[in-house]
Amino acid sequence: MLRPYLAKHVFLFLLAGAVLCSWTGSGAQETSSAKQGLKVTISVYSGRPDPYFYLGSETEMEQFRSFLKNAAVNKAFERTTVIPSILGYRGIEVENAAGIRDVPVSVAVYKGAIEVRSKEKVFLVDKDRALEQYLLKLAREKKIIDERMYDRIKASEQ
Amino acid sequence: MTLLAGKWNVAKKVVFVIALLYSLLFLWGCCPPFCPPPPPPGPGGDGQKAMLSPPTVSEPLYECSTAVSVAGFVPGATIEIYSNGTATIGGGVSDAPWGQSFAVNPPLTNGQVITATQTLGGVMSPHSKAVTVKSFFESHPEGLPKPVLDIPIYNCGGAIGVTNLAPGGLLEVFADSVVVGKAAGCGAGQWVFALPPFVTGQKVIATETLCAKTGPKSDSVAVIPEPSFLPTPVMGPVYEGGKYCTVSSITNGATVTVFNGPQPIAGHACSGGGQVFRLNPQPAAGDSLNAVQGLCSSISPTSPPVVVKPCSELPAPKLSPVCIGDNMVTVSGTAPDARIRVYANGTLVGDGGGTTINLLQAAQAGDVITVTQSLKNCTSPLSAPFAVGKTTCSIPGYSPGFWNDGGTVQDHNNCYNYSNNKRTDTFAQPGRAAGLSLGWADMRCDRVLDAAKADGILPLPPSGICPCKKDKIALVVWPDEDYHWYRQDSGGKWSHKPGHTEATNVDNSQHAIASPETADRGGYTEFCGYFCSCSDEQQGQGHENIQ
Repeated sequence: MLRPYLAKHVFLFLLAGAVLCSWTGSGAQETSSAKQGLKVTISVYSGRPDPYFYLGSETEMEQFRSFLKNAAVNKAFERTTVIPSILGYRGIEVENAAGIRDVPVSVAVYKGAIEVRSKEKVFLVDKDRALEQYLLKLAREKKIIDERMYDRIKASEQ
Repeated sequence: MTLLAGKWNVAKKVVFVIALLYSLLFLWGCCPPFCPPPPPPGPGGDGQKAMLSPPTVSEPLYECSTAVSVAGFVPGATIEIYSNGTATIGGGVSDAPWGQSFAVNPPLTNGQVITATQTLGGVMSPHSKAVTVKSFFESHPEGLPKPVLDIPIYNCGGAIGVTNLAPGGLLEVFADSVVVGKAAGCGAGQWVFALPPFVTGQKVIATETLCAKTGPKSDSVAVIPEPSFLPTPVMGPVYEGGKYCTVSSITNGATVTVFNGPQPIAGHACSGGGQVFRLNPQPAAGDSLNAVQGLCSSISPTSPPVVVKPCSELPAPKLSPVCIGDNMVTVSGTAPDARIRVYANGTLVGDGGGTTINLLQAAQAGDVITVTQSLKNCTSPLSAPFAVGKTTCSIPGYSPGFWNDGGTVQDHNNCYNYSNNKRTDTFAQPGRAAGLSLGWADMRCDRVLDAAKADGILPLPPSGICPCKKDKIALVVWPDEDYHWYRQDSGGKWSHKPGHTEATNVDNSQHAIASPETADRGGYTEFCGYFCSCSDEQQGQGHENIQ
């Protein structure tokens, strides 16, 4: 008599657990995307995938927002994109797949120009290439690019 | 009664035997054991129906021409040349399948449709591809070209070659205004005997006449003294059953003699370069042949001996790539007078000679093609098989709009996708489809190209031409960092797609890419080579198996 009773309740318990786990799992995935933050890709390769990292900390995110907030509109920019179709280093792209507030859908920066894509595309000035240098230094610190690549990129800027 | 029953039984047996014999006769056309032996089986099995390939009529053919050149036939076949499918205007027997010129009568007229057949052993081939006779002067209002004499022309020279001719005309060679050689129905390049031979100081010119119009004279060439030293001629291999040999390194106008031991068996004056000689009498296996050439008293060293090889050493031909829809195959490594048989999946589909043999049915996807060569009763082994591709390839144009959508296509298809013109949305990597994975240490030419080969992408052949309308692509490497691919578009220029950026036809200096070897490639300093990709005219629809 006792066994069927226990079996039934064990089954219900396991079923509830599975349902709860699936909810928290998907929630955990959503939270994970948001936690990963903004994806920063160093656009340098052709065949191999480009190296990338995430702006995870709030400090990094705020710094990024600050660069965009303080950037002037670039009225002189005439091309359709700041990332040229060339071999080798050609800029940095930041993607907001998680939909973080107050951050555009995507941003690209290269050689003093910033391309901001939200509902429309806007071009800004990256004064002294400050945003680009900031992101490159982060990539180096996080060991996404090694010293050799960092030096090559810096040399290509000459 | 018993006697009658016994006789009836015998009668029934007799009737049965007769019925059996008649049924055998009906089935086999004969009564064993009196039936003839079955024909020797080919690779396709017993008793394949005898078929001959249609020969090839050389193009172009011009009005007023008095000869037609035919090639690709079985040596010894009877060639017939037809006007408009029915009227025979020329032909004959030839064992020179690399190309035989036959006189035609009357001369060709504008609009005539010329075909040829070959017949051997009572079997006639289908008609060749038709060639329509054109008027040379309608397509060349400037007139006949200026003939060009092969130089230098030496004292005692007994032959001369002339190029830059309109096929079919009358070539005449003059020495001090006297005709010393002529050829009616000449080829685009033609050699003639010079009789009498040239003499030092003579001025030699050539002219061509077609439809009673004589073109410009060639430049005049003075005959010079013969060289004191002549190079050693080079003989090609000779196999048992062969009637011909090849000799090269011939000095312009020299007389070549081929010996079998001490006995001369072939020889005449030749234009410079190489020549095919008919050997008479035909040598046997083990005979030692050699050749010399001479101009006046200048005689070359004797060539190294060429021992006639036995039938067992007759090599299989080499087969060039065969593409879907091809109506001919090209072979090499064959004796000049060999009979070439072509098989598709073991079934005879071509029977001719020379280096290009027409097929009785076009090559189909997946066909496995093999060939043999035969001299008299000697047949070589089958060649290495060639599997006809399963897909028809074509070359794309430069149309970057497909790739540069600013979204999924652009972001998820890299240089490897673009060069192979295949959209996978996987940022394809060489070797991934074959289960390989390239790492940092593999960013070198040999590793990346091995990975591409694993995907089935083959290097450019020595000819420099991708077979079967495959597209030429090129690989470069940024040592220890990355690889990059270019593709040649249908216009002949090159384009590429650096990673997830836009496809473009300019290099890092914004110059059009005439060649990946000379383009500004940034850090991709190592050029690894060219390859052939089965692409497609439609963007993104290439047929290579990349992932």
